[in-house]
Amino acid sequence: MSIVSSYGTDDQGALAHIIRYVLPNSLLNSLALTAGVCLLAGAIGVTLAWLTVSCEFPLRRFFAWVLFLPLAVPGYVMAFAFVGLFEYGGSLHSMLRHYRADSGWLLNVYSYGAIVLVLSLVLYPYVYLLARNAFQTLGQRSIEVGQSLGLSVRQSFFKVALPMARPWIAGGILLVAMETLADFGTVAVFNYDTLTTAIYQAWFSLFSLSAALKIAGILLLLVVVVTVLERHSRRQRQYAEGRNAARNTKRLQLGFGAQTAALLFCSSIFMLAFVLPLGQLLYWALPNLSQELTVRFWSYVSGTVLLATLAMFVVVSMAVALAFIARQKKGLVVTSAVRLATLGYALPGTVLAIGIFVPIGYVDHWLQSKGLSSGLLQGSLLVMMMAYSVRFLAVAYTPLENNLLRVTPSIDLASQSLGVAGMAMLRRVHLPLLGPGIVTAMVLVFVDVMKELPITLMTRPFGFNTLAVRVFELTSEGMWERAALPALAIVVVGFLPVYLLIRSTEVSPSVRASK
Amino acid sequence: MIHSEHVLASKAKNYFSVEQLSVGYESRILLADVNFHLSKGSIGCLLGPSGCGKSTLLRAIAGFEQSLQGRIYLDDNWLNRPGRTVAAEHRNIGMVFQDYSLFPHLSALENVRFGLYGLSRPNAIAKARHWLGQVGLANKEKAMPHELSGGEQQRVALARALAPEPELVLLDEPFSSLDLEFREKLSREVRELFKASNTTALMVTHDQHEAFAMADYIGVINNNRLEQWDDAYHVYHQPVNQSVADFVGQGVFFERGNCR
Amino acid sequence: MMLSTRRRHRHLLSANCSRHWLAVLLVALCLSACGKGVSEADSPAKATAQEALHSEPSGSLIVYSSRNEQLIQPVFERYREITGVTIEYATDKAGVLIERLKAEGENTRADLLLTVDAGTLGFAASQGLFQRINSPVVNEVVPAHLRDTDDLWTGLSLRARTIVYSKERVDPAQLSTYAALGDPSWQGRLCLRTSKKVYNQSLVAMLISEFGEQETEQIVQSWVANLAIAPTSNDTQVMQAIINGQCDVGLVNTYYFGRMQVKQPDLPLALYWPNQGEAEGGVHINLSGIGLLKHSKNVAAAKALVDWLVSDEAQAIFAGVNQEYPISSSTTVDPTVVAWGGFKASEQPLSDAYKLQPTAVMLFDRVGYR
Repeated sequence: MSIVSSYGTDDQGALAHIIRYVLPNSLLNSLALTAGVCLLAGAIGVTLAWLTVSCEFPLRRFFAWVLFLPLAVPGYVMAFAFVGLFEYGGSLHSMLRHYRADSGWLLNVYSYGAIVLVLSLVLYPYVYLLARNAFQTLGQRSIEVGQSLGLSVRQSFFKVALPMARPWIAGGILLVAMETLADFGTVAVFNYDTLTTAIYQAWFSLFSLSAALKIAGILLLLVVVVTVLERHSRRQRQYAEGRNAARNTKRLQLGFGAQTAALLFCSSIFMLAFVLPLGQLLYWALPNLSQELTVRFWSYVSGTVLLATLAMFVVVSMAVALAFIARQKKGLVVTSAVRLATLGYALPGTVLAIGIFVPIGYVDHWLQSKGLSSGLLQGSLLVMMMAYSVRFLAVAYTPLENNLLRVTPSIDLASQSLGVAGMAMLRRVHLPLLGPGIVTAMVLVFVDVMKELPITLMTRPFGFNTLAVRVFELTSEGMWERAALPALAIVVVGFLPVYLLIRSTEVSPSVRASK
Repeated sequence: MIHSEHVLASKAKNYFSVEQLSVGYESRILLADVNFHLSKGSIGCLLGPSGCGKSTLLRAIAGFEQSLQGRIYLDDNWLNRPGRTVAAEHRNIGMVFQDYSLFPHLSALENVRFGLYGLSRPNAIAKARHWLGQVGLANKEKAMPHELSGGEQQRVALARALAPEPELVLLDEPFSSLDLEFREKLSREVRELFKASNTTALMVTHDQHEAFAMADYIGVINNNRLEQWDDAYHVYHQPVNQSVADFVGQGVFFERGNCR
Repeated sequence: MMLSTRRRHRHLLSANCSRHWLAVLLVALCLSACGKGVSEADSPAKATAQEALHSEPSGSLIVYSSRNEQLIQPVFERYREITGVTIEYATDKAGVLIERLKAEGENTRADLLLTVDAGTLGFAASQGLFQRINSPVVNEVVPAHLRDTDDLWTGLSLRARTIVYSKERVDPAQLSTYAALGDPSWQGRLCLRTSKKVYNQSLVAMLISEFGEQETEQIVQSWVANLAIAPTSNDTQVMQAIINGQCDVGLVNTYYFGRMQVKQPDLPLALYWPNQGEAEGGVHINLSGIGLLKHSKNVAAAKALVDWLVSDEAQAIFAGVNQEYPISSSTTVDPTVVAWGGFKASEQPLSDAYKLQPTAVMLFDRVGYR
């Protein structure tokens, strides 16, 4: 970690205090939250993936793609929309009381369950994405194998399809776990204490950097544990990839009852994760439209698109390079380095942003001492892109790595024996084979950068604003109604890439199917 | 007395030569002091149990692996001599892999066309079509690899290796994943194809039926060395020692041989 | 005539000349201040700023601000109109900006740091980020206890953190002090914002310096015992909860109340000024303020901006846009704010507020105030 202490040594009191009063609760909360979100997001993601890939029911194709859309909703936006909907005096309570109905049964929005629900609703798309990938590759065939061994369809799902898809599902859940551990914006809306909020408290309220770093160390330790668990399940992925497993488009025909259940489940997730929060945002945004919809608003939109596009190319290129280095040079050192490089995803954004600023500060000073004015620190795009790379490498790397596993080493040799090596091989063999993975990586990075806040806030050039920054400026003053329009715009801008992603996973070329 | 390189390489009979080649690792030599020659247009076969270094030898010839010592010559040029080696992509050697390794993102025709980057697009397509026709797959040019049967994938891999007209084609257990009946049929066809195009080929197998069906020259590998290299007739009728005789004579599958 | 009005204003908010509190209505101040022409006020500022620019290499200034864009942009835009000086700004949380300045060191391009809490300014000063402002204008206009004792920063606008109550369910006669909110009669009737917000930390830091740590801990504990709902994540939610009938009293910054009042003039809420009795210390005030950075490359231009920011014209925009009290007592006060009435403000110097902030935070954790 590059953050170095510059405070005095008056940290003992702060540390003792944190260990006694803050740590037990926030550690427990972090663990409970991560476990809850992984379970719920995992269950939602896997169920939806299975239904939309392997079963046939009315509106299946529609749900297959709209259920991706919550990917474009930032956690903090979902959080304040939920508070607006469910808090006492919020939209739903008021509506029910207007009709003199009992509103006591509504979700208590400040409960543990509500926070788990909100985080799960924004994070399940990661699991959904990867689980769909798995079921598309081996879904129907695995059920047929199960049936041929005398299992029912349901038994085949649990005994054959699910275990075979486990490495993919674990990959998705890892991303969910890392996001949950690093989250600040969402839990802050609910005033829920986690390790991340404890880091902020130690650093910015108790002014103790060393205590903050020690908590960050615990957080990282948790991430390493989760990563190792995920690695463990991924080891078995190779066997799961059936050779020549042709993609099967035959789907299970559900009975009437099962169709209704599937339809009901998909609609309720879609309602909760998308229709309701967006409705609340619209309800807030419309009366404030004239106030917010100014020339500046459009500059936020263009700034967001510009930044996300640039970051998308930079981060994905780096991830591709990393994937190839890891492929060419297998070994513990390289593997560990890759793991390390992707850990940034689990660090709270602010910690990461400052952690990047400090070494750049040193470089800047050093250049200055050599008589060079680097201007590195001046909110330059370079710093921004570096920070984004550290933060989002894991997001870009995961889908690439999944696809790279499909490229067997003898494919490289075949290419070489035909006289095609080096960059030509990268261009003619590897990049096309990685195609779908690259599209997925680009979309995930685009959407994530668009939603990202702490790094953008800290490193953006002067006068350069994004929609997320605007949402922050307004919500930090409690002006949620006015923040609704930029928040809505983030979601809308996210539609296009998410749509492209769905297209690329739905109409997949043969690559997915063969080895 | 050391022969000059030109003297050795210029002998017409020795279109392809391997001299005193050793492969494996510093800690564990798989094959030591291998010597054999192939004339232009002939087919050689290395026969031996799995895990004895046959494939490693083949990969060293292809340039995927460094040899420990020795020399390799092809058509008057050295490919490999102590301290220096020609990169795989510059050796002009085609290879057919055990698992075929077709490019999954390219159709059958595009796979065959892959190595024809030196030609103009129409010429390359015409040539790829020609070779796809040669292996009997003229009607499958648009098919993607996963849509082809194992035998068809094998033929595409063959056409892909032959299309750039390499000076030498290497085949690594090319028929091992096909069923027995089909294996013999295809090996006869491939031999005819090689003979018709005057292709020089070297193949590796552990199945002596395959070896005798395909090859002009056979080398028997056992006990970490090349025990005999001769034409098929002599290997069968005049084995140099008991182990070669046992193996070839009894027609036993040679799955478990003697290698350390 | 102008001078005398100024002096009277200063008495009201600062009460720095005597221990006696003055119940002067802000309405009167407003009326007297309104007569002043705008052109009078801006011409000197214009002159100094332009002079400063001629002597400086840069035609623009950079401000790091934890005050939100929408609250600083109008005043900076006005400055550009009258002087031609462009002000660029980066907004972020104060803690992050301070870390950033420390990392940038002497290579920073920033000239000024603007925050919304005296504690953060004090902390930034303790980290050696500022240089003395040395401005006769600031020294004349801004009361001493609203500036740093070492002249490293100055306040720009004031807000009070005070009691808000339901007009329907609470008789203001029941209210008296901050501490009294812990009285069992408020059991299940109190709403508070999260303890993580620096505003609550500063308020309790004031109580600690008044009552000592132990007694304050008991006070906060009694508040927590009276909470009707879990602490909310912002002040607006506290007021909303009172409107919804979930609780009857709460603590808010005055401008949040002002914002809500502007939107809903018939708000069923009112502000109460606590601690107005003899020796009760007065209402807790806090400020947004600005410090001149040690490594500023445009010191003269930056000083000119600070001088202008405490002028009447700037103050009217800066404070007015957010329903705050101007730092300069001669400035016209927003009518919404005037209507809340006058009060005796706490006189505690704000320079050292940050030193008690960790104590307050630890105290919160001990009594379980989240």
